[in-house]
Order: sequence, then structure tokens, then C-alpha cells
Amino acid sequence: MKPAGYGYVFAMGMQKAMAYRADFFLSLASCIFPIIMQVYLWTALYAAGAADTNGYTYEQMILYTLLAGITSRIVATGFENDVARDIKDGGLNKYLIKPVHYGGYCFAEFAGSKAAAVVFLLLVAVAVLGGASAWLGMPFDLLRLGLYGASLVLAVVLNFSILFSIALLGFWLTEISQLFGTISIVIMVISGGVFPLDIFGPAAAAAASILPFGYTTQFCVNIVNGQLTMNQIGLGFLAQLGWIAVFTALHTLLWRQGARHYTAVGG
Amino acid sequence: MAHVWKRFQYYLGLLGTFAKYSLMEQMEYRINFVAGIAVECGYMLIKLMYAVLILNAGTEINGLTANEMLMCIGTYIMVTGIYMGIYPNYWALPLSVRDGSLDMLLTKPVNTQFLVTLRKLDFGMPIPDVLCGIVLIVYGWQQEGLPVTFANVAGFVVFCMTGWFLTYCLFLIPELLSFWFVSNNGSQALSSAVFDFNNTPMNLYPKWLQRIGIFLLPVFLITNLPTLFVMGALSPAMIAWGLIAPVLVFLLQRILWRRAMRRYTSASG
Repeated sequence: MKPAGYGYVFAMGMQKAMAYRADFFLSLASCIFPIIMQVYLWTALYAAGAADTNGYTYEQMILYTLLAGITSRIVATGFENDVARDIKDGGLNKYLIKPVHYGGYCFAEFAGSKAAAVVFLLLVAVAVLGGASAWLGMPFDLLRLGLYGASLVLAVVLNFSILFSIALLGFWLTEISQLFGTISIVIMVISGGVFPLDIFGPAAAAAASILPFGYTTQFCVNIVNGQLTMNQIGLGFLAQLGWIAVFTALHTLLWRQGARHYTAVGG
Repeated sequence: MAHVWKRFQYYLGLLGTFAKYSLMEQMEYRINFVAGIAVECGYMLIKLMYAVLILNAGTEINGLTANEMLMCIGTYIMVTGIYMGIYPNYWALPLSVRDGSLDMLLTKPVNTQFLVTLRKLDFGMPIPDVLCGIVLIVYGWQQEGLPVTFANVAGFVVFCMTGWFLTYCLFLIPELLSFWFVSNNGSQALSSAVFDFNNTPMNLYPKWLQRIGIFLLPVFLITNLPTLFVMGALSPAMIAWGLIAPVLVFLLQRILWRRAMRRYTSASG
């Protein structure tokens, strides 16, 4: 399929996401509550002088809490159940006989379904950074903001690659929808989407810097809250690109093997 | 009175039958059973992170010691687990409204809400939550040196039960929106985010938020009252409110349920 074709798929994904607008905005609003909860938790812990956070200042932690809620929502997926269903119920048949790359199709639809939410959330992120600059005295650095944006693009691609690779296991496992639930939660935790992993000790910090998951949320947020030096940011970008290459190779391999294994039932 | 007791026994027997068939169904798909436990372990991991943070702090915050806060978190984890035991019904309700499969349930000679909300019981998902919750409660209770008297244990259990009943009533309301709207994923996400306010004890929140969570949208009553009762930190008025609020929410939910039933048009099916 020509690139313009994927553009139509992108637009279709966007229309689908906006079909139920009240639902869309309520879903976005639901990410505010965990943020409020954590802000008060950290405020109480720091006020009691009891926050053991491995070097995060109060301001950095509050900014982390605010931005991690937004960032994890930006990179979150949700297409994996559709892929598993396509494989299980035979819906994949229609893609196999058309001149379309299934992975590209899924990515275009996934990106389209997220576009409106991402624009909205990015505006919120900029407002949060402006607010953090005004009330918390955090520096509003345009360079770091730009790097945050670039890291988000790579984080979305990386998260897509990870979840697409896992979804393709549907070629071999009959019922994996529940598995996605577990994996999504675990990924959210180990990506730093709830708390920065560094605060749970050196082992957790090392895991965050080695495993790919930390590069989908924690790395992006730590760019703007000043936790990382420019050298560390450069290395982080390399790690993001490296992990994208690894998972792209993995899902390409899984697709090739899976397509051979696939039996077109129903559809 | 005899009639009421007879009806109660009948529904209790029916619940036993639902439990038996639900267990048989789950044992048929054992991988799903194990996967359900794994999913719940994932959610529990997040709740435990809050417990670790508070234990690491190890100090008194806004009138609660680390061990007392641990008891609150343990209660939240345990109540969540028991709630997850009936959650498949909540999850299936919007779908049955959309595809008209609710018709079949409406024809049965039992209370529709009872049938819709309790006919499928999950035995896998509550296991990790209930076990972990009990461990945290016992640990916090013992470390804090709170007296283990009959009154304390009974009060704790009663407030856990009212907390669970409150959860049942309060979180059925967002599901009822499916009778008015085609998609209610947003309201489900919102209600589960509100429920998660119990990840930390209410004492960590400012007074205005505590008042909202106690009187307006009584989510804080679900998991804070059992620990506060054992600590002797509940006033008689608060004890009364803790017992009355679930009844009021139940009445509100029943009014909404009846309106939702009148609204149901049995499309498709």
C-alpha cells in the first residue's frame, strides 16, 4: 500500500477514537485522579521529612508525578487485543490478501487513534511545565522540552514495537487477552509510570536503565525535570533507538514465522 | 418476618448455586483462571508500591503511624479482592445492554439486580488480594500493638463488610450509564480512578477532599473506617455515618436501577 493509504488508515483511527467524545474526555479526565492522589502523598511524605527518594527534590518529584501520568497516557497502547482477535477469529485473512503490511496498518491506526489525545495531553504537559516554572521554580528549558517531545515520539514507537511483538504470540497461544492485562500493568510499573523506579534502590534503578520499559516513560520525564545530564539524555536516545531496532527485528521475525503457522479459520 | 427469612435463605441458596457453577466453569478453563490471578497480582503490585513507600517513610504522618497506614492499605487490597469476585458481572452488564442479552435475565423469577450482579463469581482474582490484604492488616495490627479484643475484631469485620457493600452499590452506578449511553468506557475508567484514591489513607489528603470522600462521594468510608475504628479514632457520629451511608447509597442505586430498567429497550438480542 502507498504511504497515502496509511494516511487514510490514520484518519480512520482518529475518527474511531472521536466517535464517542464524552467517553474520550472522561477517559482523559480519569488520569487526573491518580496524579492528585500522588501529589498529596508526596506532599505529606516530604512535609514529614520521610520521603526516601534517592535524590529527587520535592519539586522534581511533583513534576515527575504530573508528567508521568501524562506521558504514560500518551505512550499507552490498546491495539494488542485487536491483533490477537484478528489472529484468533480469522480477521487477519482480509489483510493477507491485500497489498498492505499488517504491522504498518496497525501502527497507522494506532497512531490515528492516539492523535487527538496526544495533542490534548501535550498541551496539558506544556501547561504543567509552565505551572512548575511559575510555582515550583523549576526551569522552563525549551531545549529540554524539545528533547522531551523527541523522546516521546521514540517512546510511542518503542511501546508499539514491544506490544506488537507480544500480540503476535497470538499465532501460538489461543487465549492471550488476559495476558495483555497483566503485561500492560507490569509494563506500566516497570516503565516508571507510577513512581520513578530509582527510588526503590540501586537494583531497581539499574533495571530501569538496562531494560527497554524505562525508556517509554521514566526516561522521557526525567529529561524535563532535570534529573538527567545531556550526556545521559544522549545515551538514553541511543538506548531507545537500539531497543526499537531489537523489537522491530523481533516482531518481523515473529510475523514471518506466525504467518506460516497461521490457519485461516472463519473471518 | 418468617417470609423475609425464607426469601433470604432462598437467595443464599441461589448464591451457593451460582458459586458452584461459576467454579465449575472456571475449572474448565484453567489457564484463564491462572491468568486472572496473574492480572490481579499486577494490580496488587501497584498497591504494594504505595505500602513500600509508606513503610520506608516509617514515621507518623497526619496522625497515622506507618503501621496504621499499612492496615488501611491492607484493607483496601482485601476489599478490592472481594469486589473483584463479582466484577465479571459489572464488566458484562454494558455488553448485555448493548446486545440485548439482558432480555433472558429479565424473564427469570428472581430479583433482576441480584441475578445481573451476582450470577458469575470469580474465585481466582480475589485470591492474591485477600491473602495479601490479610497479611498487611495482621502485620500492621501486630506491629502497632493494637488490642485484639472481640469488639475490635467484630468492628473491623463489620466495617469491612459495609465497605464492600458500599463498593458494590457505588460502583454499580457508573455501569448503569450503559442504559443511556452506547459506550461507557470513560465512566468506568473514571470510577476506577476514584476508587484508587484508597491506595493511600485519607489522612494524607486535605480536609476539603476528605469531606468530599466521606460525605459527598463516600469512597473513603470503604477502607479507612475499619482501621480508624480499631484505633479508637472514630466518633459516635462517624460510626453512625459509616453504617448509614451504605444504606443511603443502596437506596440511591436502587432508584437509578429502576430508572435504568425502564429505559431498557431490548435492542438486538
